[in-house]
Amino acid sequence: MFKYLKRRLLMLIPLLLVVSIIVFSMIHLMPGDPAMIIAGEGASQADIEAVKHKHGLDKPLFVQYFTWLGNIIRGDFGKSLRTGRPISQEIGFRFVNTIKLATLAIVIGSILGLVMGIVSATKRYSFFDNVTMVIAMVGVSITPFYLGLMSILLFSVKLGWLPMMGVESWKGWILPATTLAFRPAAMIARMTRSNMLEILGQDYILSARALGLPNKVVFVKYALRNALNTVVTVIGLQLGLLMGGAVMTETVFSLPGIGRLAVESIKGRDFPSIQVSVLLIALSFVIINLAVDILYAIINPRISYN
Amino acid sequence: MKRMRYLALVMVLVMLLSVGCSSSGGEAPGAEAPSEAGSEASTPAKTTLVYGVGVDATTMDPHFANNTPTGNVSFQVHENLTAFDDPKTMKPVGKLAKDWKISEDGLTWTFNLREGITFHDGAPFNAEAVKKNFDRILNPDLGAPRRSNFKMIDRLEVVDEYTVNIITNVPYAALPQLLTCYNASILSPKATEEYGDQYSAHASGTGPFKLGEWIPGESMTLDRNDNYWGEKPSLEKLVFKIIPEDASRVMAVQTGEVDYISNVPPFEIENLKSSGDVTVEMHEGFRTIYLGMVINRPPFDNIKVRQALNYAIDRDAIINDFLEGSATYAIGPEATSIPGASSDLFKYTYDPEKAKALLAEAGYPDGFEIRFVSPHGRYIMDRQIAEAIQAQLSKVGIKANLQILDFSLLLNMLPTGKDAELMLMGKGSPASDPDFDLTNYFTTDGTNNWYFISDPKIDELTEKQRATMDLNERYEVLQELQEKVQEELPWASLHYERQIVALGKGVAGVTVWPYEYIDFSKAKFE
Repeated sequence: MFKYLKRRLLMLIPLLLVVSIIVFSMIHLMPGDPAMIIAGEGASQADIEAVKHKHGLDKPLFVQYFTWLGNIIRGDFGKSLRTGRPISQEIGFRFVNTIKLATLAIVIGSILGLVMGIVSATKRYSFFDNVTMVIAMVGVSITPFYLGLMSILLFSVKLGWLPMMGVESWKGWILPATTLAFRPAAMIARMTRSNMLEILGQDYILSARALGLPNKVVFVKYALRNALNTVVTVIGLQLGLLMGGAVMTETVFSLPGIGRLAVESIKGRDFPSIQVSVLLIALSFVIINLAVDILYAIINPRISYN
Repeated sequence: MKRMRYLALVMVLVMLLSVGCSSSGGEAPGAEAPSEAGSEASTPAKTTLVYGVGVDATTMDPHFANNTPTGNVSFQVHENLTAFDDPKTMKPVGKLAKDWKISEDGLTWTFNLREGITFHDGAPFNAEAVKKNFDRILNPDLGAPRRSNFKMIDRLEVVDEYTVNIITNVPYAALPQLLTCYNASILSPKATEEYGDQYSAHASGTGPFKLGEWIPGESMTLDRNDNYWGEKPSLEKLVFKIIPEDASRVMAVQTGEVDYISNVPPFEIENLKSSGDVTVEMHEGFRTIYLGMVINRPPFDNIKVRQALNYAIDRDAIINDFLEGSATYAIGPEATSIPGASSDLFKYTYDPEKAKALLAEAGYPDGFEIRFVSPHGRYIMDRQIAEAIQAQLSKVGIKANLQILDFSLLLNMLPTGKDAELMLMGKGSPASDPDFDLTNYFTTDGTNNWYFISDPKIDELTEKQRATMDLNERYEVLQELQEKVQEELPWASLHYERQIVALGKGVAGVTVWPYEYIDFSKAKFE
């Protein structure tokens, strides 16, 4: 297990290098000269050249890349082209915000999804099952943007129960986290239900029942445990998606997170900031996947990494 | 499953890139606020005003600022040698300078400075400080993005502690206006020397508010400057809370979580007016929204075609249907409320028949096809207006293939002149004087001459008005210049944007300036 972990962690290095090269080439292929954007409307050619020179944007691309890489290895993430602040200052608290938001959302989403999925599977075609599956369908289809605005309108403007923003108080996290939890909850519920149903139709369940095991044991020990394998993958996938894909929620709830920073940086062609935020998103994705693989082994003793 | 995971990673990255490339954020200022502030709105002792803005300031170093929202925040903290007297009259008066006089040859401006003012960090304000600031702005090694705006300034001379000479290399009549720009703000020389390019985090001006806590992307808190030389603000704290989404910003003023918002979308006016405690105000603005035509090649090389385009646009419909009346009908490139702007120009009205006739005369009886570009989210309802114009043009036979682009892409694309014949854009007036705008947009070498206009008469009159020190004479030259620009007609000027703001319960004393600066120094709760 330890060897496996070490190998997987070492593999991160080439992976991140490849991601950084791809992102670097993509942002330089993107139309839009950052120097022009920094200089702004009405800047003369001389102003633009001065900005280019100041930020080293007039150097050949590979020189820019290796300078950047060398600095990263030394722990210097560079300065944002837009704000002139060190990238570490720009990104640190935003990354923490996004981790908090995504974790809260996935916890809420998993609990809701699992409960809904399990109950639906055990009471197939019941009223509860039908209602849950309709909610899940809506949950998968609705955008967090719309859902977020509507929940603000209801809970903040009309009822006045919850603040629509503010990360200082725990209250400020309720609306964004539940909004963001909606889609994973729906996905998890659907996945849990279909998996449970599939497994409940297996021969070994029939054997367990024939042996006279109580329903509870059959459900939890035989069906749920086997169903969880795939569900854990879905949860991991969803968490990964939330890390970079919470842009809409971060925007609607005025929450500074890494997704919003990445989008704002792309708009402003803020290369150093794009690089680091995208790399961090990729890194969290890979680490979440690693965690999922380890969880497999814990849930399913047949899987071993030795 | 494994493949699916990497697919998902790729999807996230692609999604981020595409979101970042396709849409562009609205331009609005930014800031912070404890969320509880709003819920205590009814207590009489309220001294914290929370202002909800769309974007964060990029920097608190005004010499490096390049957008109005950033300038707006900086102006709460920094002051300039000059300022304007009143939003209605817009006459330049002394701020950190008491007064000034100009030498006979029009090259030396002597500014008498106010005495006894100190910066937030305790450094004294004097002639030496002024000189150091302009040396900083003009230093080519610093890479200040707007250095060339000040290229007419040759050098500064300290005469005595409170007198400074600004020496220009050519006579430049609009210097007092130019000195009101946020790029010309006076910073503490002690702070700029100590922090260099990290000044922004330690900003220290002479203004009514001091920089407090700044959480980038979330909020910025400004504290009252208790040593302010002028009338001290009654607010203890001014918080800029960043709320990027228009709809959220509107709801935030309804819930009372913020006390003030700007850049209100016109279609929200009715909604806000109906929600009890909120007041909506509309103020004049200096921003012109226009259609620019590339005139160095067909079809817009023909003046008749440019006139036809001006007749083909139904400006009233745009102002009433999309902007809910929050704009003024444009008759020329300069908003008529700018001092020196002409209000006596030929007014183009909607006349599709005349447009068709002119097109036929120009040799296009069946119209033509052009490429038309517009940003999205940069100006009020820009995309919708561009689409309406596309429809209006089709009625006279002009097929405009509209492409909505990210503003940053447009900034790169327009100077080449290759990718479009027609553009919907906006022009602010940072110095609140026609010189700046007419030079940049309509002279042969103008930085924003995206229409490839090259007219010796326009170039000559631009030079002439700049060197005419007598105000009335200068206005006459400006009138002639604007008539000439309208004769050449590189634009179909559409409207002058008004600024829509919404005030929460009890907010008073806020001054909205037409150059998109909102002054909170006299704000209070009633």
